[in-house]
Amino acid sequence: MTGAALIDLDCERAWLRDLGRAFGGALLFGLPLLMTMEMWEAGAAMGPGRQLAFLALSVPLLWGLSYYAGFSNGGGVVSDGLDVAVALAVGFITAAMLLVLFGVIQWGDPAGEVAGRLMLQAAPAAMGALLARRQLAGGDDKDDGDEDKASYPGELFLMAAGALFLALNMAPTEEMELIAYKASPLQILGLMTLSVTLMHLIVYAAGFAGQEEHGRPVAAFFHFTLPGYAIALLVGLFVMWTFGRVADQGLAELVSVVLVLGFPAAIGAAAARLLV
Amino acid sequence: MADSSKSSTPGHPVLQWIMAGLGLVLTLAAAGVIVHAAIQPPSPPDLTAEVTAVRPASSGFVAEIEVRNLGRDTAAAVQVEGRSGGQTASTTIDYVPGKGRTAVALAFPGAPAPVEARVTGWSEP
Repeated sequence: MTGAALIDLDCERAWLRDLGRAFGGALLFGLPLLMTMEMWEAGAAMGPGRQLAFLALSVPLLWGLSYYAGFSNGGGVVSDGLDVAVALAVGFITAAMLLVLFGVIQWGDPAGEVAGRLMLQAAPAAMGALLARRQLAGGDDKDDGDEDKASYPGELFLMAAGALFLALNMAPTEEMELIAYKASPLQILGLMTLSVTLMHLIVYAAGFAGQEEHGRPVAAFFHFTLPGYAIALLVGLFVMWTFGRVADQGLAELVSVVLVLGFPAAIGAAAARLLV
Repeated sequence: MADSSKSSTPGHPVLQWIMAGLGLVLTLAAAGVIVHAAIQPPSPPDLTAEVTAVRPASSGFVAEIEVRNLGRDTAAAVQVEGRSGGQTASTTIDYVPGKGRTAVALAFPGAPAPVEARVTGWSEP
């Protein structure tokens, strides 16, 4: 009786398909970062403190995503924990395979550097693995995810996840600083206005705002858009700090860069509802 | 075993437990390596350059040089200079990670001759 319950071939086969989707999601979300030179360099140059901070933030984030969009059915702490661990395995395997194929990780590289590079790439790939079920699943899975019953803190969490995802894709490149230097203060203010406006439009259209806010755009603005934009900016600041760009510049430059990075972060935050 | 799973959670496939275990091991291993690196005393970059081979090229000759970082901290923009007779050649390496190595090549005119190589400077990453 127990033996039959332990290994159920149909169940294993169905889960293998989920695992395949997870790898697909990890590739889809991880590839832009895996093929970015600055990410390889950051893995070596970040230093252990920032790497550990990044990992320490990634695990609860993945846990939250698994709660809202996990790729295995069923709920509960065990399920969510399993999903996070599986997503990390998928992330590490995807990152290791591709970075070895790209020749970025070579035999004889110092262990600390390899671990740093893999971890930096595994976390976003694991995000992709967790989102895979929602993104790549066919129409047969209607019951997935708990995001419809997300509480207000849950909605803010989803915004942070979306902001982190898009900010992480942009932040490693030098273009963020270049844009901040090229744009005048007036243009930065314009970008800020555009960020908030677009965010509000997406938030309102994508249904972040619940039933009670429907038809009340001003309430939704203060309830979702403004906190969301603040979250996007904080996420942008954290990502810049992770890549070691905060310490060596003046306050005005730092704010400009964070506002530039805040644009994709705000779009990511607003669109999180569409992704998760 | 089946008794331990709650009635609300459906049974988890064995494969899922295996992958989850793998994920836990990989994550803890990566974190362990990084923590190990974090608790080491600071060790600034210590760079050496060694000529590993000198081979003729279509114009002049090429000296292959291995640059090693004996320190644990990463060095960026590492400048390598080589001298052969009265000629000098130099190149810059983006990064040499702590305890890591990188191979570079310096080109010289004329017939192959002994080359002396040294690292002339670097910056913090």
